[in-house]
Amino acid sequence: MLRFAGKRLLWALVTLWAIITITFIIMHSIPGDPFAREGKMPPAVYENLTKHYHLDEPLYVQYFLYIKSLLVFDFGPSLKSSTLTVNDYIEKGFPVSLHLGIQALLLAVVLGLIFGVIAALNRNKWPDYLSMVLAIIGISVPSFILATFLINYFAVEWGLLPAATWSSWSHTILPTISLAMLPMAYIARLMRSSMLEVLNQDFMLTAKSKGLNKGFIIMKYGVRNAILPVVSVLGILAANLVTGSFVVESIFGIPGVGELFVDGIFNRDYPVILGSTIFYSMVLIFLIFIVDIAYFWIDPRIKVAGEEQ
Amino acid sequence: MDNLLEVKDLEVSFYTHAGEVQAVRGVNFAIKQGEVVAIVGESGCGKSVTAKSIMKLLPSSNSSYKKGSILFKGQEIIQANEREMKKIRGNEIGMIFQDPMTSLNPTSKISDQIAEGLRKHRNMSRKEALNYGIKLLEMVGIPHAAERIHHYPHEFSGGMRQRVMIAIAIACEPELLIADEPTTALDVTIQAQILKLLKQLKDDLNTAIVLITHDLGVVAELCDKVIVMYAGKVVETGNIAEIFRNPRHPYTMGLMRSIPRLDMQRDENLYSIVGTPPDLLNPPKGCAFYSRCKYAMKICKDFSPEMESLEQSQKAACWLYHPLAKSAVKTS
Amino acid sequence: MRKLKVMALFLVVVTLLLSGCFNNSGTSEPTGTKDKPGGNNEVTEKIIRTNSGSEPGSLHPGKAEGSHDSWILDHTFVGLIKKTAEGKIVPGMADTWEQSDDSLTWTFHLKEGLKWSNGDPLTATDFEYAWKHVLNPETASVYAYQLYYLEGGQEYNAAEEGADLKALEDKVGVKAINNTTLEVKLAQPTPYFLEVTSHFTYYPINKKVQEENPDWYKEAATFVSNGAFKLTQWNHKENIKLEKNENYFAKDEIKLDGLFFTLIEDENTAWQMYQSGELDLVYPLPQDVTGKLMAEKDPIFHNGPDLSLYYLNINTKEKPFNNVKIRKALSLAIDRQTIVEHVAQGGQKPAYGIVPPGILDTKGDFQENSGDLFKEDVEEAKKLLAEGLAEEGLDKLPPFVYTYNTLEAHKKIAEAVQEMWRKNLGIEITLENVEFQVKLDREKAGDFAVSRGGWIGDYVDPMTFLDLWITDGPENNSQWSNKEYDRLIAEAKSTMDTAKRMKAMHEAEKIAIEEFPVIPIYFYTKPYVVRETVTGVYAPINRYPQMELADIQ
Repeated sequence: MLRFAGKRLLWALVTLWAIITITFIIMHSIPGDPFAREGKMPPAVYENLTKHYHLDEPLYVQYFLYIKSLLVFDFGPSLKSSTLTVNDYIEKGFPVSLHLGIQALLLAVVLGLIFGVIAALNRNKWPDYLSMVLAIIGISVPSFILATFLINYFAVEWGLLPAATWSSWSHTILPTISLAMLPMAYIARLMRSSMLEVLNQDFMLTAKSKGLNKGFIIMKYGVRNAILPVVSVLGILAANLVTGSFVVESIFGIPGVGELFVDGIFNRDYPVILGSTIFYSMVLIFLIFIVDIAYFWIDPRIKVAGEEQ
Repeated sequence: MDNLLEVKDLEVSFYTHAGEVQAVRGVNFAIKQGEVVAIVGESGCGKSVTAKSIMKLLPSSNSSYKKGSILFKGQEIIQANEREMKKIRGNEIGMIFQDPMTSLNPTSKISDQIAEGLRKHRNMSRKEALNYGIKLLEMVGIPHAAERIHHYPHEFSGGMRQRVMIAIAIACEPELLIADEPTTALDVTIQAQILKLLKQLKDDLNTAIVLITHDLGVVAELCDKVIVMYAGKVVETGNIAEIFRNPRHPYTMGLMRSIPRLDMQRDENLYSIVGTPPDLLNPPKGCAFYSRCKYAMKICKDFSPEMESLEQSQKAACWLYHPLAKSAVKTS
Repeated sequence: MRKLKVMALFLVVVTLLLSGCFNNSGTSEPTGTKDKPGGNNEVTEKIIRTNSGSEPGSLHPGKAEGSHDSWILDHTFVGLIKKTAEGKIVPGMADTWEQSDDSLTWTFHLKEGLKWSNGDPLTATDFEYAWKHVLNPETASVYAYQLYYLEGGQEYNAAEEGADLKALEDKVGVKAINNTTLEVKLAQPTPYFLEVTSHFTYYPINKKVQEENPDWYKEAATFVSNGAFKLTQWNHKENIKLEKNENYFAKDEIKLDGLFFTLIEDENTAWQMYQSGELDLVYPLPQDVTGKLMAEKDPIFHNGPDLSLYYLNINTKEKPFNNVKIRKALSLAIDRQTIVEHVAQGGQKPAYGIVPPGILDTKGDFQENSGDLFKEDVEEAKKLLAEGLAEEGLDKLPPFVYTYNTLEAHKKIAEAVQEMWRKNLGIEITLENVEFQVKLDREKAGDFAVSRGGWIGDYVDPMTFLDLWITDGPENNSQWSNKEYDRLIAEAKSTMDTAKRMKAMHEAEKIAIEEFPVIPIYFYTKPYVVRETVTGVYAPINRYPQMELADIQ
């Protein structure tokens, strides 16, 4: 297991390095300039700005300077803010996005699994149709529409919940629901089809022939086996959720890292673009690793490579 | 009651997109305590459906018992509700399935799978169930049982898995064991072992066994009685000697003839019955074997024969043996 | 079953942990007043709650940019002069001032006993220090050019590698003669200089604080300012709280206890928060909300002029747009009233000139005095187009591209203009939306035919718009050149005589309209909402709504 983790870590570093380099190259090849504005920008002011952020150096120098600062975990300043650095953005924003992401993930997984199982058990009857219609809605309705809709009714019309910001736990409810809808629908559909396949398996009949309780069979024989494909997509799903959703965080005014990436590109804020790309990649690599480990734990048929009986 | 299991006029149908498939069209048989009965027939003849219907294991959404009764120890199974059935399944009746590779829960340890029935029906604690499970594994011939009980199904070979299945099925010492083609998916050497095991268990525990199979060799090894099914109906019953030495129904005769024999010539063709079984969406009015039968008579086309008693315990559903038929046919 | 119980327990624990995450984020959101029926109308603290639209990039007056910084700075700092709600210049930090005969030297006399919010005395040195700090090339201030009006300002800021920065700094025309006297030397006579000193780049900075801790402006705890309010709480990307500054020289005029800004980017959400009672003032508003409130004449709705122009750049260096008649035809064929009423819907004013309303003329309002410098006329447009094409030797206008940066509002206007040109002039154009950055790139490179533009004035004087289009002006994307125009602009810049200036500028505007290097579409407005219980808010033409003198009933 240790060797496995070691190999994966090495591979992760190589992947990260490739991502950094490719992003750096692409970033500097697209048109646009972090200091361009639709206002006055005299040449002297422009030059002062460029010099201040080392953007006047040749690209390879900038690249090495950046890699050097990365080694001490310094992601650099933001070109748009004199107050917060990229590290600040990530340090302040990630816990918030993480919190929102975890809540949304939990909600999506729990409800998604429940709906998926109910749909599979009642195939072609009304609980199935209802669950699948909800799933289609969840997948097709864009999160910003859902978010605005929820705010409009729960906050404005009925005054039950606050409309926006991130000031107390009740402020997290609407954003969590908005963020969870899509993954929940996705998980529900996946679980449904996985469950249907499992329900057709021979061992389901064996279980029934033993006179076991229906609920027990559903859980231990059905869900336990059907959940495997769902686990394999959880890694990417989780990575998406915990790195912040641009749309949901924007609408609810949540100070997470969701907007970091999009704003960075829009502003051509190079350190922010690189920083958020690296960060997202790290989170993704880590979560996929976790999922792979979880898979060993969940599916006894899979062995760690090199670990033979 | 004398009979452990009595099946009378059983009719079971499946409702599909294409229509109603009459899988079982009037089956009658009885099994006594400790008897080993084989139900043989080709694929699609309804033997597996009959077996599953004894424990009501058919999918309820698209199947239904159209007629008949199944009496197990005097209790009417068809009317029984789920709660009552759960008391019977795995407890008074056990079942072994065809494919050991797919019939066990891949994500659950063997210890748990054996323990499930024990804890439900015998109220054992975890520890008790574990120890009892080890004994069961030893009984079915699994070496190093105490270690291997903690393994997962994929860590066992096919033959071993079938033994495990048997262990699970007999865990609560059921009076009736239904074995649905238990050796079909195994190779011949393993087959012999499994059959030996079943025989031994029958001797030790006095369990009645219903053995579903299409392999007549297996039948000869193990069984007391044989029931031959064709197109959803029973066409002949009798004890082992009667059926093998003196098959009466033309279908049974064809079956016996098609068993390859050691004393055949090298270039002799294997015999097979011409034609195919009828479509059970639209079963024929008369005898289902009519189109393939050498001895077919006019009446066979329009009227379905009833079971005629022959010598001893043998019975056949064929117009040839009707008292009014011209003469009985002798096999060569 | 055991595993299930463990998982359920895990879920419960995680949820509890997460819900406890809010204990010490230090956010105390004031409840303020709620106008909802049956709501609690008790006024606890007089705090106006509003939304600032995004996290400030920098609250250091020398490095600030954009409204997300300046709105906060408006309320925490004050410069040499202040402006009343009507736009009249009145004393700020400076009590009196005079200019030399050649108008190149201004002397400002600060009030006595001025203090910073932390109690430090505020002197003229703080002004000198602040302005030189802005011009220092190493500060890399985006608005440094605002201080180029000072003698030596541009030279200092544009210093080359290896130059003697100290020497250049000493040559900059600002000096603290004593604690209360500030002497300013200008590079050339600048008639609107006084107006310019109200820009945040000219705010003073506490020299002592800056030298001890250059990062003072990054956190509330170290923030020192001299205005009506002080910064007491800054939860980055969440909210900012300002409280009354007891050291403010005019503190008795301040009736509020403080201001609270949430930092939410989405306009719609801000509006919804107003509706749910969580905010008291909202600017800007979503377009459809503006339209609706205007139509309903809702008393919470206020609209006023804004110092900005929405226009189309025409690339005069690309044929056939070098032809004046063709450009004029394009302009005359647009129905601005329809655009303003049905497309933009913000109560904007159709623009028949370059300079927006709200700027004082010698007498009256500059834009009013200009009047409508041209009239839309489809027939005339058709005629001009035909003539122009003939002059260029074309029989029809080749299809061209109208470029705009990706925003729903710009798209709608582009589509409207496209349709108007098609209907009225029979020409087909294609629309192209590009990212904001790309549009700027293309404009600078001259790689466009017609592109959407917007300009916000830097100071309240017609020159802030008119000098955009001098020959080779850096923002003159049209690359238009007119000697007479240049002459008039130079004249207006060099004389201190208001009458002469205004006359020159009016004439320059007329030339611009005759030649149409750009096609004005509308003048922006400033629609905002504020609860009826909040009084005293006013919106100057070049600022966001000012809440300094507001009160809550």
